[in-house]
Amino acid sequence: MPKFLTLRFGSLQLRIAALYTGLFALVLAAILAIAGGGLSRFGETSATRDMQANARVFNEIIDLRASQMRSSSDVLARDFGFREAVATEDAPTINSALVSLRSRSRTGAAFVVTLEGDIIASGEAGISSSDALWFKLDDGQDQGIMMVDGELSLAAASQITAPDLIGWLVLAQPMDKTELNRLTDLAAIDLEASVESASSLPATLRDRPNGEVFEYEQSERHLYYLSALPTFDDELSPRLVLRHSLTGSMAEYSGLQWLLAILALGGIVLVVGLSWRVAKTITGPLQKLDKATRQISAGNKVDLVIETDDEIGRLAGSFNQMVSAIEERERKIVHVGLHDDLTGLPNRKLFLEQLNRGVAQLRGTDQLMVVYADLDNFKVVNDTLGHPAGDMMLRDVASNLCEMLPEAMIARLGGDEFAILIDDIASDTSLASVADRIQNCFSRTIELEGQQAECSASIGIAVAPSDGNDGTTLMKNADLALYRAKSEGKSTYHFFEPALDQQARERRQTELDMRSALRDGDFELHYQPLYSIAEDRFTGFEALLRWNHPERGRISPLDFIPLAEETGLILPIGEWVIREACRQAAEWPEDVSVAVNISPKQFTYAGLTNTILQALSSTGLAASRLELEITESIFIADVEKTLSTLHNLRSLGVRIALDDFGTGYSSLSYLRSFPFDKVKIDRSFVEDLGQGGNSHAVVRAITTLADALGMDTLAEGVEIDEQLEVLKQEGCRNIQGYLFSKPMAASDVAELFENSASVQSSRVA
Amino acid sequence: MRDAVVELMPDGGWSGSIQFPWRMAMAQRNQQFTPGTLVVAKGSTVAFPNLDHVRHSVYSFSKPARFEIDLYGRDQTRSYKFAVAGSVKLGCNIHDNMRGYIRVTETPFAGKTDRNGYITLRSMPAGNAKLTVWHPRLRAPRNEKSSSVRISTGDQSRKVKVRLR
Repeated sequence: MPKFLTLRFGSLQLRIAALYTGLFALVLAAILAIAGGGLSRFGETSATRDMQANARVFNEIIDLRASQMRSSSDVLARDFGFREAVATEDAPTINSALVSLRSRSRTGAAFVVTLEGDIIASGEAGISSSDALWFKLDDGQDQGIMMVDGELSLAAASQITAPDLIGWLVLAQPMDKTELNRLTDLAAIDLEASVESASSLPATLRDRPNGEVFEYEQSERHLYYLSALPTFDDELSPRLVLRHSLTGSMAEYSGLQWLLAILALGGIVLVVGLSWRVAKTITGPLQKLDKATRQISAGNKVDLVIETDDEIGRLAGSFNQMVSAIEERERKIVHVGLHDDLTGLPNRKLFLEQLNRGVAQLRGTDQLMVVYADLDNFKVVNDTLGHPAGDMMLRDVASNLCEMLPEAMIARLGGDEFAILIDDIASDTSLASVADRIQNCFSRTIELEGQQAECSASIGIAVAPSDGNDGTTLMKNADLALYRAKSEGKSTYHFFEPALDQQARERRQTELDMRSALRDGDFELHYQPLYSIAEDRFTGFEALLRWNHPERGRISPLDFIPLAEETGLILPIGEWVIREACRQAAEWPEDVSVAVNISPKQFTYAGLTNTILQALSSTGLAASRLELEITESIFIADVEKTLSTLHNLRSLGVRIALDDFGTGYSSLSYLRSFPFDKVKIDRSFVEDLGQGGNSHAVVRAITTLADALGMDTLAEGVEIDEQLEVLKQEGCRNIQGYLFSKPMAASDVAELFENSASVQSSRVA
Repeated sequence: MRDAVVELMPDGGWSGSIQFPWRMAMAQRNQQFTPGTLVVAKGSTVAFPNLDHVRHSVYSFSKPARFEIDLYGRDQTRSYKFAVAGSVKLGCNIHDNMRGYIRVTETPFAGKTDRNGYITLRSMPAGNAKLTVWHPRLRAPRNEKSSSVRISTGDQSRKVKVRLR
């Protein structure tokens, strides 16, 4: 089907109109068919009936004509003089009488048949079979068809008596067209009549029974009626053939049918028009709705005009309401989608859009600055003052930024991250001064719920076009710069430089390598002895992770542990460390324990307890020989949860040591919250020992406190004898550091135990 | 068949006088010729008395006697002499259905059959003779049928079959 038709027929209006028209046409067609059929049947029947009646009448007309002729002949036949002439066979007299009779009666022929069979006629009467005629007359027949002068003629005979029968006077009239037409004029319907001898008729007509009306079609439809006429010559067997044009008589009925058809056509036209109109009242508003819907889809604003107060009008009204509701919601969604809920600032998506636009509009030597800022102590504020305070801080920072940097576009990227876009920076502007200004915007004191909180931010800056030509790249680079700024210390800013990108790539590579190291067994545990001053022996070893990179060689834990922490790889790595440490420690003497560092991320991981249990049970290591070293940072998060985890771990029977003690904000308060088994004094205090200063006092305070709380103490990073002496003096019970041993491979540990006595003595000495 | 005229003519002919016992008259009564058939001898004069209240005429186109008697009234009589033997058909010009037949014969041995179709002829000389039967509706030329018979002395009967129109 061509598209044109599909489209057109797809319209409801057309379908409705077509349906109604079709139905109407169907009904009309049925009516026409029935009426038309009835009409033509009625026409045929009545024509046939007329024909039948008229045919009977026509036979009587012929009889009448014969009677007329006989009346004429009777007059002469009774004339005394004529009878005398016949009786005396006075031919001249007879002839003259016949001539006058013929002209008087206007018949074709007149002649006398004598009883002897002679024929006396005026002139030449071409009577072919006089004998047959005589016998018929003698039988008393007084009318019939005969052949006169080669023409079929109607003949009527009168007896001539004198007084007995002496002959017959016969009048004959050729049944030619003129004569028959004269007769058919008398009929009530339009008839064509002819008299034919049976032998001259076509076979189909000849074989039809007489006295019946039938239809016979040649060039047009005709009704035929054949009847046998009395004859004076049996060989003629004449037939009266009546013909009535059925086509003619049907013509008036077909006129009626045409009228019906025209009426029907008019009706259909009317119905098409009306149903089209009716459909239009329905589909018109629908089309408007459709159009409006499409415009709305295309994003145009549309207001439908309500014309009526019927269902369609109400639909239009509802539609308008719906449209405005949708617009409102759309506006909200767009806003939500592009703005930060908390601060009302644009979000990352909108920022990126604006950034891209800004980059595209950069002209000449103008510059554009993308600033990533991360609040330095937000996590602490959140943890210590609660989330509402954190949210308040974010809002405060946001409004402050907007106020201070009216020319900039400020967005919140999520969490405590903000992004600032400053465009149209002239090439001679000092970027550093801009950075300073931004830095200053963050560095201030905020009052939160009655408490003062110091606010600062680390800032990463990327500048277009030098650091990138598209928003995504610029944002990535600003982020890298931020990463660097943060790692360099808080409250600083850092401009992006290509090396950062390089570093980022390296970090990604390192992450990948860590995964394969875990898989390929490139990690290795080294152990650093823990020396008990009181017992004068190694009472345990701290397990330290080493990575033998197949290409880069040994990689320092400082280089990959933070990354592992960041990426979450610390979890599988830490798990491996626990299992491996337990496995190897199980081979050591029973009075030697193993210490494992648990990272903050690992600590919050719910499966930690389970991992430890499995490691212990699979290796058979006594729980008391496993020491978990945790740092103070675990308390920064949820304190309640931390304590509950610590108690869970303690319930396993493992020992828990507080690592790097003394570096945190409120280290002493942690000691109060949980009964640690051991406190490891941070190496920074140990380094200061022997160089004067107050570390001495700090160490003493710690050991005194620990003693009071029943906790063991250990000093890290002991490298020289002076430090050892001070520590001994201040009551520190355990020592760890290069003074005794660097971390050693597992095999070396085993070896150590074989010659434990000698080693100990040599070191201690 | 009644009223058929039967004539018997000896071969030698008949030269004597002929006398029939019935009246030589053909009356018109009730618009009919009475008697319908009359046998007369040649040369007889037949009277036509009109016994009706209406007037009648008498005509004949028959060869033996062609004549016309104009209308005449009741109780009037006309007459006509039949000089030639043969059959004469009589009609009335104004009453077509009146028919009368006069058979003019040359033999005394003639008469017409009775109701039952019988006729008895007497005193005929023996010998050969020609028997003629005539009837107006007899289907034959001149409405008559002839045959030769031999007359012997004594009674003898003969049956003649004819066809009628």
